[in-house]
Amino acid sequence: MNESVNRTAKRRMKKSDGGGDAITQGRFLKDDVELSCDVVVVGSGASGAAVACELAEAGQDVIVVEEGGYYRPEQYGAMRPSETLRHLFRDGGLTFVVGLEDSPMVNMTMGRCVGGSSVLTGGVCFRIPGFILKNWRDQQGLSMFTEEALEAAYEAVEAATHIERVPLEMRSESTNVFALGAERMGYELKPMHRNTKDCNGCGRCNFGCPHGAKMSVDIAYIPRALRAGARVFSDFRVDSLITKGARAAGVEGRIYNAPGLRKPGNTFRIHSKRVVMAAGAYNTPGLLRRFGLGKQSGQLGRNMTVHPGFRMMARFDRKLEGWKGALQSAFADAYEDQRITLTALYVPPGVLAATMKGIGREHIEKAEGIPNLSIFGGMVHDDPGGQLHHVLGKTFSTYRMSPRDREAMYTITRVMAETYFAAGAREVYLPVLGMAPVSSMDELNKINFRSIPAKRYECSSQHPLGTTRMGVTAEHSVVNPDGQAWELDELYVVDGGIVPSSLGVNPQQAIMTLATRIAWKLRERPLPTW
Amino acid sequence: MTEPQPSLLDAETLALSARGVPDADLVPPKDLTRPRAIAAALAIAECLFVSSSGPPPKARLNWLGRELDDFLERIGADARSSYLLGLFALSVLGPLLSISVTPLRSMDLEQRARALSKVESSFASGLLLAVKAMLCIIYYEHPDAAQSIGFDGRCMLATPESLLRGRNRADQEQVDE
Repeated sequence: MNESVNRTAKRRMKKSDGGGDAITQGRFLKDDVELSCDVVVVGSGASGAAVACELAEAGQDVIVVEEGGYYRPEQYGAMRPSETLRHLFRDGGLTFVVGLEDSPMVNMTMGRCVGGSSVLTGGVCFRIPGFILKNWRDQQGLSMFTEEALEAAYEAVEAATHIERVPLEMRSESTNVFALGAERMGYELKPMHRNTKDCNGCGRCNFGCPHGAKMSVDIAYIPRALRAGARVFSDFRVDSLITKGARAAGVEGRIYNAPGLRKPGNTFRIHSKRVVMAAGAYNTPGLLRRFGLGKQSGQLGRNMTVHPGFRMMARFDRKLEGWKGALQSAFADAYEDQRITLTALYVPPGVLAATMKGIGREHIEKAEGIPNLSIFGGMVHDDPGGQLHHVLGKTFSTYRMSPRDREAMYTITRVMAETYFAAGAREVYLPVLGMAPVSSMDELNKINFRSIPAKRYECSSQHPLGTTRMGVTAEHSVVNPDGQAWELDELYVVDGGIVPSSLGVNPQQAIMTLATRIAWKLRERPLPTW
Repeated sequence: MTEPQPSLLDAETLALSARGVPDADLVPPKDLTRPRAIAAALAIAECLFVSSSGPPPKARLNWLGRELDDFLERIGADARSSYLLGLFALSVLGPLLSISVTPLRSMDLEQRARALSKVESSFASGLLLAVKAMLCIIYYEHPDAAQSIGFDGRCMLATPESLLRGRNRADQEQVDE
């Protein structure tokens, strides 16, 4: 299929070859594809969708290419968690970051679908904390990042994604008992804000909302972008960059349309005046490396922060049925000075059962106690100890936890366990592999956390950041504060990779806001001529 | 053949789809893509899910096997290789740590449970967790298994109305073709 700039022809192509939807699904295409546009956006997650929408609405001809598949809300909403894992998650949710020295192994979950990880989050939204912006200004010279300067972009994102406060009555009993413990410990849980509309609190947002209530970007931004004329292609894997002189001029790659499951078949080539990378902090560096970039500063793929997260479970005498209520309804910032945020959460029973010690009857007996379990999580506002490595075209990652982050990990474990005992828990399950549950404060006090190897901690992350960080000099960063790559004109990065430090809070809104800010700059910047 | 795509369904079919896992007997038979690996996984599952009334029903294990096979087929080569490597390592470490020459699959249920318990309390506990995680996630999606642990997750399931709401929200601003 060759270039056809005519909009009507494009629509006909979608309908005839792309599965009858406004989004063209590469898996149904039969030929090679060659197209041209003003801006090609690589990735359709939180940042890519926001940028595509803003630019398309400003009249630019935008193409979005997404490596993952396209699943409509009524499709992923009907899936079981394991089906969501196999269809919408990268690596089926089995991506691991290898812990170096005394660091935990981190299970990193990310989306690979139209809408990206936004389809698979708990919907939690935070503005960038003021003290973080101050650090960016004072320590990294990013003087333009003030709360006032970001206000308009925040408001645009909040309106587009319908960010609202989770009402108290939507808290699950699992969260309520933790709140009781927190109150007795002298700190409070605050209501979370999420991008939801008509949510009824069913506790499985992170496997794709079954009720069409989470305003993930496939609902909040992609339809707007399509209406403004953007073209969105799923199953398109970018392999290389097209350059023209000293500037980026498009991308090319393979379409997953060969016989078999997700096998690359036909090729695509998209010529553009500008390239925007939005493949996520975990994937963009690999692509940039493949494009031959990243040598100048030596920072590409480095400085990764992950917000290492730890889940605590506690058993109570009564049934809590923690799946009834919002998945993430409250948080505590009382330990912010120790670089810790505590957040409510819930996970499906199969996931809970998996972490329970025991084989056979011992396992089943514990699993039968799931209705009596409460779960809460904590994450560390971490130092940049992660790094992405690229070997033979594959990306793998390592994480070296700093000593102060390790202390924060111990503190999270202790604080959450104490909170549960204050709430009257019978048993507390520490996030330590193979460790028997702890049944009293006395027992807890006898544990020397520092003697437990960090590798035994169950650790997960959904927030990779910082791998293409922005900065004011080419020596210390990969892109400038407007997302422009230092090494190549008209190549921009807008995803979580540009965030120059960990945030200590869920980064979804921050990523969309920073991307919106860059999109607004791009609207004003003249496009190069062919 | 390209990957079958969940079709755009009418409300009635959506309701059926939202009901959860179909009855094992209604699932059409399918040849497993990697029968040896699935057999190894089911040997672990069989003793992992033993309850006071014995091992899980054969039909449920077969369903679990088919689901795991499909999962492994779709998750990409890297993750699949890691999972299969984990299964292989468990099949070696289990007998090794319990000082036995009998392969894990050939051990009786009690021996197998003892061998896996040894792995769980060893340096390789993370390995067992990774394998166990997928088995548990899928196994407890079966309505009978979920019910057996007191999980009433109906509110987590979509309803025809809620699925249609998602569809309408995604559609409302798309290009009118």
